[in-house]
Amino acid sequence: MIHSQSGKLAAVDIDSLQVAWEFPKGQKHGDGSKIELQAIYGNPAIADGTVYFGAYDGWIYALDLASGQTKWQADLGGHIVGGVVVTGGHLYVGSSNNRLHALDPTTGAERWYFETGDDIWAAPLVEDGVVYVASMDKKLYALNAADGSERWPKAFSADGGLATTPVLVDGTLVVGGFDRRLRAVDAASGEQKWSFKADNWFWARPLVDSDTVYAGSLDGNVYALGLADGKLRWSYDLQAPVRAAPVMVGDILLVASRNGRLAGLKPENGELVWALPIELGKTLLADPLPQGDVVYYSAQEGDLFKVTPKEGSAVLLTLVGVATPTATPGTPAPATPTPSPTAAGTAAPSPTQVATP
Amino acid sequence: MNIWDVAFVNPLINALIILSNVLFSNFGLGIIVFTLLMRLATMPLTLRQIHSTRAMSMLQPKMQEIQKKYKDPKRRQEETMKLYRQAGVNPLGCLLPMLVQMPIWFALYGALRITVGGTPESVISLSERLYPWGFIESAVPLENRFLWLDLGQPDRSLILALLVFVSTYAQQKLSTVPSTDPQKQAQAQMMNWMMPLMFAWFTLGVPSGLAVYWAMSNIAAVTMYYFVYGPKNVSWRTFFPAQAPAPAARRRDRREAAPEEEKDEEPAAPAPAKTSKRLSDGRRRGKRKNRR
Repeated sequence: MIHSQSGKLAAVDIDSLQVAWEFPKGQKHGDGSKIELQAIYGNPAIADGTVYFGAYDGWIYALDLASGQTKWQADLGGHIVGGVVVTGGHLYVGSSNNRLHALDPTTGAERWYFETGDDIWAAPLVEDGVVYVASMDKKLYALNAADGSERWPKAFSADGGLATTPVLVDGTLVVGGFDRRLRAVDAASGEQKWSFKADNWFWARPLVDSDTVYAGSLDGNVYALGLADGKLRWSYDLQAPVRAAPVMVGDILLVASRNGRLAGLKPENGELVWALPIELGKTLLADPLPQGDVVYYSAQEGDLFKVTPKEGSAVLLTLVGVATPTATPGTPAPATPTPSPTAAGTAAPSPTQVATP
Repeated sequence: MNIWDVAFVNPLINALIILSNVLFSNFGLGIIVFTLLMRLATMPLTLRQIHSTRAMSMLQPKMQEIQKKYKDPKRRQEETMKLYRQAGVNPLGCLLPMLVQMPIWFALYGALRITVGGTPESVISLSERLYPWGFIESAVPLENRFLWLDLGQPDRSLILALLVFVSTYAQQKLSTVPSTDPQKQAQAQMMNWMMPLMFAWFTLGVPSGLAVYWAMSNIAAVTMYYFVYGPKNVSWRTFFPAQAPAPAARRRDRREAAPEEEKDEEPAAPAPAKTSKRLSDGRRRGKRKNRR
């Protein structure tokens, strides 16, 4: 599992919790200057024994999965906030230099780039040879994955910046924006199907399960909407902004708010499955990593939590060699994690699983 | 959200974003113009503070005389208060306008701190404070690039730190109330160096948008002082520590120099009636000098 802590990236053995390696830990840029990642917001990608990730320092790094040694690194010239996607022999990543870059994953050489009108904070979505990318210029673009040429006659326009990675289901793209609206867009034409307005922005990646869209908003609510018509089915108030994507584990919808409140909900009506929500007491902004019956949450402070929705429990994981001790279960009472060293200015990406056990 | 944020900080945040929108979506220009507008809005209070500070500084020779003349603290205080009355000076006049302005500047600082942010997660805090008006929300994220600066990141080039140092020093020099007490004098002198150094140090660690605000606020205050008292009273000498000048130069300086220089000199001890008349109007004093 790849995990971010204290401005570093760490490879962790998920069973023993032993840290295999950390990055940058002494490694330097090509010109000999020190690597200062500043923060890591986007999800790393793993392909062919290589870990790819972009950092807020504007660089994209390719590391050897086994050793953590740099294979290549490239300066994209703008903060990288969204995650990277490696597929079809390309590496795609958006940057605050307004560009979506397509790089050669083996060398880091640029194959093409597409320029939008503002920062790109969302990871692109690549499906069937099409790259969908949301930009803060209020537009959603559909590009040919091979050469970056536009597929729609006109990019889809919203009324506010688009910072969520779109989700594609049955020819419908679902994307949230800073105009407080969650929108469904026809993937073939780029035309809007419906929109739903909340009381604050949508920044969490939505989840589509069956015929329902589940989306967290910064207004503190998680909304369940019909995929076909965008009609509200139910909402659940977490009472703090929701940035982390909702995940479905079995028949439990797991949602988390910024202030560390976790709720396991029934997907059909939004009722709480547990007696009480779990209070982790940490800042949860990153998308979680579901793995079988458990879900891993990486807190902004650097802590890593293992949540078992069926039991309604959360455990603070102690990484060997890095974190402070103690793991506190909470069943279903609030878990009280032991504070670990804070990572000032460090955002946590979702933990990324190397291989499914 | 507490009442302070709702009543003061949030309106300023929204006003700042509207202003940036109007100014070609340039957040840097927005900060500068917003700071100047706030300075303009608080100008009456600032002017009262400047007048009081200046009047107090002009009383220094007389106060030194009182300190030398009267050893009994009670009598000394009586005479000092008498001097204040005669000169029409309220010793709290320097402090009161400053205290009234403090909440405004704290709110503005808070607004800038939240708005500048600089990181994606800070935008979440900002989202909770924005009014639900399309033209405000569509401005986010704000364009943080301004000149050579990324307004959300500290400026490592030292240029801004230098600008903050110089402007804070100048502003500090002009706003310090001189004292006849050598210990207080030494303290004031130390503060004149410490404050600029401290703010310059902060500049290296805070988002440069905040440092732009500090620098602009100081520059606006110094400019205001210059226009109120004119070039005769705010010369380049004002900003340097008093040296031991030649006697002739000393007499000239006594007429032209700023408060900080006057406090290091021997008391002029003019006649009380005359003094009080002069002290009530600094500009008039300047005109008299010109005639000479």
